[in-house]
Amino acid sequence: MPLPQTNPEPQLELRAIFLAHHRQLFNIAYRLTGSREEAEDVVQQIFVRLSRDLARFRREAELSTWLYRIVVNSSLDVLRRFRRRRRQEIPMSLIVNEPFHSTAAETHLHRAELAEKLQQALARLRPPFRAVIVLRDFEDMTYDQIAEVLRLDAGTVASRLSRARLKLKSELKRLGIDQSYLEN
Amino acid sequence: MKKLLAPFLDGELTPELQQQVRAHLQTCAPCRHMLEQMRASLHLIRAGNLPPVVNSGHLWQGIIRQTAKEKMRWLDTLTVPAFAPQNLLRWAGALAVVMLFVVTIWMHSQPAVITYERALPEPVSNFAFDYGLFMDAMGELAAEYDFYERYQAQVVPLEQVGGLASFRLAAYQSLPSSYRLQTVRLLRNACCQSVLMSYLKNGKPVAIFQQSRGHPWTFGRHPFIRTNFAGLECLRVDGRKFCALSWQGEDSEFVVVGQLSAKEIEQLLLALR
Repeated sequence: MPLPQTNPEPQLELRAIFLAHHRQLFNIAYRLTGSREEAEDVVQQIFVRLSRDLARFRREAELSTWLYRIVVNSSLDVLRRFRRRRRQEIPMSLIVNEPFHSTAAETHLHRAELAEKLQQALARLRPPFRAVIVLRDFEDMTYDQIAEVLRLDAGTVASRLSRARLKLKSELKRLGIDQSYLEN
Repeated sequence: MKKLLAPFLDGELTPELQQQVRAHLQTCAPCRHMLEQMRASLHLIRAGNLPPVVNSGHLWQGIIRQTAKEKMRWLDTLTVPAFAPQNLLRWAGALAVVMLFVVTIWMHSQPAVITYERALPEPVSNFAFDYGLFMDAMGELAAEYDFYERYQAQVVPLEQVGGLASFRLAAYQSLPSSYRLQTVRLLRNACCQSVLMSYLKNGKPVAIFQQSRGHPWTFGRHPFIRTNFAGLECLRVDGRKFCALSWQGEDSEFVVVGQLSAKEIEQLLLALR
């Protein structure tokens, strides 16, 4: 899909791209860095950079791939730089924005606790595995999209995803979460 | 086979591969176990995948702020930094340094002013400068009072002399750096004017007078000889403690008086002509 060419105001075009992508970009950055502040920084930097380079993207597909590639790379850079610095994070149970359409508040809190454990388990995966599982299982990207974003072949994506899922399962188990958790 | 399990679970394999994996799973317990683990992992992710709150407005404002900051940073490379009250001390310091620099330059550019200048009586002669009086003073190493008392001598800043004199000032630009300028004076009598530039060379005084052509002047009681040097007809006085030389230039006349050797005064002529 071509980007709108008739928009005379670059900031409006940037705003449109922001509205279309910022939630998913923020989610990816948050899952990878484990920090809301870092995720916000990463997303802001991406759009600041995009405001300079917007003219070079002719097609929406090019832009999307670039956005997701940059968000993954920037988040992994943040991880490398700040591996030893752990910020005091607000517990996931307090920040999820799932609307209260569940039948009971207990169910919501139950899911929020699971979400928090998932984030902790993710943080224990090595960055390449974390990236592939976030893009596939959290953000529902196809194997081909993941391969393009991460510049890998599809076989490597499949292999990493298999290992990442097994590793995540064992990390969740270490945190006291298994299949029976869902049945409760 | 292990790397095919994830795409098998996601239905991303071709129908043939999907069938092959299914057949393999019938016979391979470890692979079945791994598949179950992956499935359980996937269920837990689906159940716990609650997207975090995104404060879109805050995020967008941050982008706008940073974009503006980037533009300002770029503009800062083109413009002088804006005045800010918190930088007052820094600006004051910079101003003081600049002023100190300007004052230092100004002081060094000013010739040393001889402080015994005073109001002079009316000139004795209405038509001639008597340079002999000046040579008397130099010969005795006395102060130059007598000469200045006879003529109206006004100490002037160097940069003003060009505007006051009717000829191009030769000495200042032409002399070697060993001649250190002390004072510039403008001399006037009823008929003409002369510029006197007082120098020191190796601590010895040298005076260069330059005046408009065609006006009479004298060497007083000092005998002179006519001589020719470097194609110029000169008048020369060889005193006991000084030399004097005069010649006509293109638009003015020169009289040089100083405690110089004959050779030094000839070099001076070559520099000034």
